Amino acid sequence: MSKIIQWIDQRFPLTTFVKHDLGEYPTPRNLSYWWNFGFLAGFVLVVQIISGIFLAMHYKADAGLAFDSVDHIMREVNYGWLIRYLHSTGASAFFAVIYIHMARTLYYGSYRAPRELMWWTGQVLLLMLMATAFMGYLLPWGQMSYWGAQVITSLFRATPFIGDEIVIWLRGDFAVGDATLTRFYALHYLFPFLIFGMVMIHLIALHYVKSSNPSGINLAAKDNIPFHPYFTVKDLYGLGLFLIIYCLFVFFSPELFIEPENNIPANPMQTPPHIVPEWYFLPFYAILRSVPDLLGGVLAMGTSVIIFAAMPYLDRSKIPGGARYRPIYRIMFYLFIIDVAVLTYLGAQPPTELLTVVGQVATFIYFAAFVSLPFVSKAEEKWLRRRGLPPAIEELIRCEAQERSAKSGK
Amino acid sequence: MKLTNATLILLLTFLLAPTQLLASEQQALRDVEIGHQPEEIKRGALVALNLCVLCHSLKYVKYHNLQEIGFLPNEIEPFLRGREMSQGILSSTTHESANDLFGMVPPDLSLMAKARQNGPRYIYSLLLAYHEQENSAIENTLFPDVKMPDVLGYSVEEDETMRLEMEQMALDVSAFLAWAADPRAEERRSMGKYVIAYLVILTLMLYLVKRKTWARLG
Repeated sequence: MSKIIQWIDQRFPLTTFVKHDLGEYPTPRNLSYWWNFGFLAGFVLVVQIISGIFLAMHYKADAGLAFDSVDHIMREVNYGWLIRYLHSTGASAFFAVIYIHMARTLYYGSYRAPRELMWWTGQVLLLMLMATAFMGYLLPWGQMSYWGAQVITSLFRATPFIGDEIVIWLRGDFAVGDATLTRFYALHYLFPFLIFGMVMIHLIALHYVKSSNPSGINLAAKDNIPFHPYFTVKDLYGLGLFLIIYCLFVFFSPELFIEPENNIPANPMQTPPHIVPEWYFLPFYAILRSVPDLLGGVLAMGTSVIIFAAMPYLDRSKIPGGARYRPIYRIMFYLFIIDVAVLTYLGAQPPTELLTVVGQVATFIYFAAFVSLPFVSKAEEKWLRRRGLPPAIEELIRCEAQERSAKSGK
Repeated sequence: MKLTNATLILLLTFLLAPTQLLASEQQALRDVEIGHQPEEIKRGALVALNLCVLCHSLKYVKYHNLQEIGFLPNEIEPFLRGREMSQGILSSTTHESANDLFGMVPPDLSLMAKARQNGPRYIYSLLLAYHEQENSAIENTLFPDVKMPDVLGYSVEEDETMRLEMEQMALDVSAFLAWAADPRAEERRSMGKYVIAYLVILTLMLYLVKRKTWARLG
């Protein structure tokens, strides 16, 4: 056995890789359980790919057969109901985990130098995940699948000059139909593997810059511990907790994530009374609806997703630790979370005059949080320094400076 | 403490998810518990096969599936009307004559219990929501535009025993349609108990291993 490994090691850095990136990989010892969610996201990706491949063995991507084939999976395929519910609940779990992962990054300021590329590759992953989820949602070919795709693809009509052509090009037809279903299916199968590749890039960047940690500074070597066994076991324990919650939904309430309307086969002649996207798109959908103009709405919605990428530049404070040592930023963080919750609620409501106004206010607050951040963060830093930083933070800043000079000295 | 927070947030996110469900209008559904007992489901199946199937199909439920709820093959045979056991339950009215009669084909009932908010309760309430108006027209208060007539005759029945019997029939049909829409629900729930029990024990052990491992750091 050792001979085989030796043979491989002369040609491929197997042992070095395992040692460097899995075993001894230095990890800050002060990571809280909030740092489990990246691993959980990777786990859910694998669950989605495996359950998806098994679904693909029985699913028929044909407008005339799709709905029936899903029902066939649910009733006749051995444990088909389990595979499908793992996949449909997995989509929600994926977004839940990713949103928490992002919220952690925002709270602790983990997007700051030198981790901008981690944040941006993560941003690309979010966009890819959204595209994959949107296309996958068409596949059961229920009423909500159909009309959701119809509404979202028609948003591209807002493109200046060539709007109508773009919509037809996307759908492959004048309306969502068989051509749309087959291309969404092909891409829904492709994207997870692109996501997988992007995750690799995300991880290579991670292993280069190393994990951030709640203190917000790069810790001295003595404060790092090897990934194995400490974080392997901690991640596995977190995975256990996640699986309990996930399986409670899969086995006891799987239909919670499937709109009743989607148990009716797609009918191009009949619009459902109330079209709602899945819960994970609701805040962005609410922003779209808050802008009276179509092009404006689409731009606002697009911006609301990608504006996160600007965070490393919007946040001008040099105080480490994100919200932990910055009271104003902390208040902004929680207000933002509440605002997103309000938008989520509004996105699910049929529009009324009052709710539209509330939606516009919430949309304004959403963007105001980002736009005001450069000024607020700068002012906050000044205020904190004038007041005198707590000795704990002074110590952190000093430690980091020391660490940096020690490194450059080498 | 941090851990409980993480779990809580994860749970909350999941719970927040179905806000869209709460959002849909809360109709005045009758407050009733729909049964899961095999005998209720079987009684409901008989009502459905004798009554509902005159106009509605249940195309995803195959005749031989009825054996799962306690039918014997010879009990199913009278309902086959020339079809095979392995075929889905079809209505005895053709699409053309249904179109002539109602101006539409009555919806398939296989997934009806999942296609409405609180499906089984919705079906139960709908069947009993017929009322005689002053002009002696009969109207459904839950779904005023429904094309389906008052099949049970609940709106004009005055005898209390008969009314109770009709309510029981509506209850049984709802139980049957709930089964028809999700025939694997029982299997799912019973498997779920073992899965959760297994995961709880596994997680507990992982927690102990984690604590022991981290204790080395002092």
